[in-house]
Amino acid sequence: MSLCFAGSAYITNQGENTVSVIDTTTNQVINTIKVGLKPVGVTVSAFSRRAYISNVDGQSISVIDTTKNKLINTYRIKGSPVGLVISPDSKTLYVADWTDDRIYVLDAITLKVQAEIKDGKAPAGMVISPDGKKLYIANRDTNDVAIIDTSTRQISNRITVGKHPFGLAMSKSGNELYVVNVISNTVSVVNTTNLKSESIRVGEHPYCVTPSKDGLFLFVTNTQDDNVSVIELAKKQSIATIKVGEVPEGISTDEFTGNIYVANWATNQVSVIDGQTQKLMNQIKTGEKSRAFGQFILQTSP
Amino acid sequence: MKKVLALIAMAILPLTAAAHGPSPQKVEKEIVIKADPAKVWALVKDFGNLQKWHPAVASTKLETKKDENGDEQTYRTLTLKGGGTIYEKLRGIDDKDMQLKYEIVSGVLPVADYNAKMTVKAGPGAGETTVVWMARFYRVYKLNPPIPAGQDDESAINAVTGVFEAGLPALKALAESK
Repeated sequence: MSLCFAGSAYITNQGENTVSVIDTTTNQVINTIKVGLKPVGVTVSAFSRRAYISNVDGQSISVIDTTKNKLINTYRIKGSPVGLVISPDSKTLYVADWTDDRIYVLDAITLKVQAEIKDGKAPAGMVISPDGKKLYIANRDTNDVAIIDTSTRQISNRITVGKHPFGLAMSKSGNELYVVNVISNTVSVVNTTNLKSESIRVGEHPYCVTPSKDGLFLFVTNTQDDNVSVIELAKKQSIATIKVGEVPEGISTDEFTGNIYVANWATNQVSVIDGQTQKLMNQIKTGEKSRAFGQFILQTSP
Repeated sequence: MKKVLALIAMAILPLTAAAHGPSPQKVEKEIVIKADPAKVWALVKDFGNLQKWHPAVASTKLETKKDENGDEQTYRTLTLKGGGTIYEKLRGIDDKDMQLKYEIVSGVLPVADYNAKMTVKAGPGAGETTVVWMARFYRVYKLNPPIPAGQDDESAINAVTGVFEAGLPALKALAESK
């Protein structure tokens, strides 16, 4: 076999309690997997070949074996699990409980709770630094991002951002954190060394953000404009908008092709944006109310 | 019509815009009207005159005022025939795409964080127009079960469905009249 790389996008479909798996080479849905009630969040591990799904109304986490694209198990968890992130070593799964204001620290294999962190109100999106030492949590109702030292599980810092921070992303180096502020219609770009931040205006009611493969641009879903803002980081401003499906929510970058995938909640589809031309190239039918909150693309080298 | 009035009358809960449940809900309805798109769009975009076609609305009061950012915004107060009011903010009128966007600020519908749009498109047949009305919202109760009666997903969906199902045939009837 020649050198080739595969990507799979795991798209949560809130309205039919499933996950659509898209092969990002062919842009076809290759599997549909039944999970728990009202799936929202997703995180993936290339190392352990697993996708984790948060089922907010089911109050559970579903674990998918990504080699077979089959459900391994669904685990009950108290509260309203929404945001998910896996540690870089794939050993620890962090789950944000939206209504009871806590972060669960779980063993990523057994799904046993190891600890709970209380850090702010309505925790939503999370990212973790590339070295695994810092966990960043967007607290929607306290308008800040908490930084957790993952070794002590204590808050080491707090960054005030815009109103209702929701989706988070990070540059590959870990030097910049990107925070989407839903009510302010902005993205905060935070320097993770000195914690200084700048805000950049985007469209109406933005939810999620992903950096381009080369790290020079940000793509942001504007849920009430049915489009994606393109931010040029060097200019610190939005330079274009790309029309996608209706109510775009989750967004991720395929790190091999550079293409951007967007889950459209109201039109039950995923839009694919060409990372080079920054134009819409494809629309893929998924399931009812696609959300895909989190970094949802798994990259594997067979 | 009776059903929608009953639904709205039942819904006496205040809107809590600050917080919402975890899963957004959607109601989407469409209708084909035998009339010119421009004629239908003129009715849809007339934000201050919903009583002209919606059978549950007794009157509409339009006002312009500054929002929390100091920007001039357009609002309307709908007084319902079944009692109660709904206070809504205009979010945009796009003549090119024939799309009206608005949100509920407060009112008697048992919903939270409600935003909606009405889109007018030509077709499917010649001389026909399709109107799509879509709303995204949350239930009133934001925490986990047990959910108080009338604050659940079903109550929210039923109320919005009632509003749309009563409104669209009436819009069609008015647009198709001479």
